[in-house]
Amino acid sequence: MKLFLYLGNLLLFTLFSSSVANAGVFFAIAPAIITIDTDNGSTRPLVADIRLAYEIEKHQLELAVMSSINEDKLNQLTVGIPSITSIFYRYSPYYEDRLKIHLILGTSQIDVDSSYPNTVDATDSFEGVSFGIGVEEAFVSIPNLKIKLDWIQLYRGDQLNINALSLGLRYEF
Amino acid sequence: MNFKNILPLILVTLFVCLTACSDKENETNLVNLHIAAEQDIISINFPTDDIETVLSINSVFDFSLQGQKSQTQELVTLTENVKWSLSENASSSIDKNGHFIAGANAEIITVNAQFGHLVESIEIRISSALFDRVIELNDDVFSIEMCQSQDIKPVGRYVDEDGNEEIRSVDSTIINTIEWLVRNQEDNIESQRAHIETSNNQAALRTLSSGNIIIQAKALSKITGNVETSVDFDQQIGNGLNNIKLCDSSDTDLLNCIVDTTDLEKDKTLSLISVGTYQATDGSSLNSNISNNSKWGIDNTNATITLSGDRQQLDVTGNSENTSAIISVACGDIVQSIANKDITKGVVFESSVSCDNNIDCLAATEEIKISSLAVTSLEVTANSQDLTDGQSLTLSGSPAEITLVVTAVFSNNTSKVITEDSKLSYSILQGNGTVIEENEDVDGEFTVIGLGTAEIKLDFEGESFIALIRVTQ
Repeated sequence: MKLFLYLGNLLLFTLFSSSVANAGVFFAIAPAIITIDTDNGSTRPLVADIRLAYEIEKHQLELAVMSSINEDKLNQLTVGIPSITSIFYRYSPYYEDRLKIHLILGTSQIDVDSSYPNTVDATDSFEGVSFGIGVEEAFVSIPNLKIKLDWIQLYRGDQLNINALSLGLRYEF
Repeated sequence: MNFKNILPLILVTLFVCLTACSDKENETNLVNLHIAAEQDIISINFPTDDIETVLSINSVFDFSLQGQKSQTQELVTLTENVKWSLSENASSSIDKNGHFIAGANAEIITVNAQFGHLVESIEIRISSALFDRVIELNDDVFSIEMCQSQDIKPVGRYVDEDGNEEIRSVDSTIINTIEWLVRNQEDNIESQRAHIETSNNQAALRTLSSGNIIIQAKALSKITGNVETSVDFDQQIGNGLNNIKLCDSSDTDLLNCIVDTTDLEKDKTLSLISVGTYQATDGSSLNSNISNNSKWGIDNTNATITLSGDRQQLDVTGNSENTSAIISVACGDIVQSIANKDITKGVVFESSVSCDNNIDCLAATEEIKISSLAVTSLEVTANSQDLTDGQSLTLSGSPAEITLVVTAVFSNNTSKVITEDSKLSYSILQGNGTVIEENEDVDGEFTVIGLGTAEIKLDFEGESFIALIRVTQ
């Protein structure tokens, strides 16, 4: 968690000390489906995904914070996501006019709440490599406002993977 | 400081963290919960009827685990994702399927089964007591009707080195060695009413007709070193079969099943089962496949009947086309004698089976019509060149004759040249009298009388072929 605070502070510091031309600050909000995949079943809680990013040319640094909107159930198993905190580096290998494609690499901490009959409710925490791909397109009438779609594998483990699929809006200040 | 300056620092920090941070050890809880939740299981236990808590050294036993579903409270046997283990230092072993092999030493061990986050354990004693003899046919009294099968758990007497007696189910090292004797109660002769067979360490009583029988078990006593014969076990076989019918083997709805397909091509096989209707303990009707305990027959040699390897169905193979055969099945005392039959292999006659005035016997029949083997395609050559149905073949050099060779491909993937078969007809649709003329003396041969295109239609057993031939200089 200290790492996230450190990187978060670093991002904020960078945002306010930037003197580079063609730099921008983004704010994004989206609902995201988090898929917790195991060999024997999946659960898909829904989260609110809030991002703050700083962009310079083809590079972006992004801080993401997510929290449950809806828990998901697999028979008697209830799964929720109290929090996900991520730092992403996004690189745009392709952009044309209003369209941008991002390769995403970062690190995430995911807390997962679970409850099941006859067991004590638990919160499991996962930290690890995140990677994915994103695409965004600016609106013609409001070029600062973009619609974006991200697929990110937040955590890749031995027996379970946690993925996020979010569709939302990004605004460039 | 600006973003460009600190970016490499951020990336390096990120990657160092990424490679170090991974919480694979935290996955267990969530993975286990998904295993249990996926099958909706909220508790597990060992089935009380099947479990053995005392086993002989070197014996084997297959443990099973059942789980209770939360929605329906139904108990189901769990076959996947069960982790089996034994207490530490056990000389016995257990594999991933719950197959337990007792060690060579007496010991008390704990068998653990884990399904998801749920864990169940049972204490097992591995005993060095030696088998003496079978003292009970089954660990519980049971009733059985004719043409039924009943798994039995014989109970044996074991004696340990201190002379202490143990009465428990006969273990796997002994059960396969038992010779079972079955006699009629009234005349004391070897009975053809029932037999006991053992497979996969499980003995089963299989009945063919009603009546009272005496069962004995002969097995080598590890105490005396002699083959010991048990006392007589009396068993009654009821005549509570209410109905018998024939069905297709593919039918799963045994209540409403019938024989849908009574047409059989020569050299092909169809499979039938016999279904018996009994009265269940709650008064309802119980339908079951009784093929392995039924007596089967056929009225002629137009078809051949054999029981499948597991005796769960009768395979009928057509021999003579355009004929029929009546398959008969009976349960109980039939008119035909089975004195010389080895009933352990199933009872199949080469003649019809029938009941004697329907006393303690029910029978059913079905006529099977045997047709010729279906033709799936025709293959044709013209002057040794392959023809394709409906596609033109050019024969240059103005040959004097066109010779067709026709081969029929049958539904069992065999083929046969049928050029001269009387059922094959040749019809010239185009070019008759201008390009070719049929040679009336030789089937499949045509005399070329001019240049142009000839079209010949071949018909055989419902299959057609258009031979299109262009004759050029």
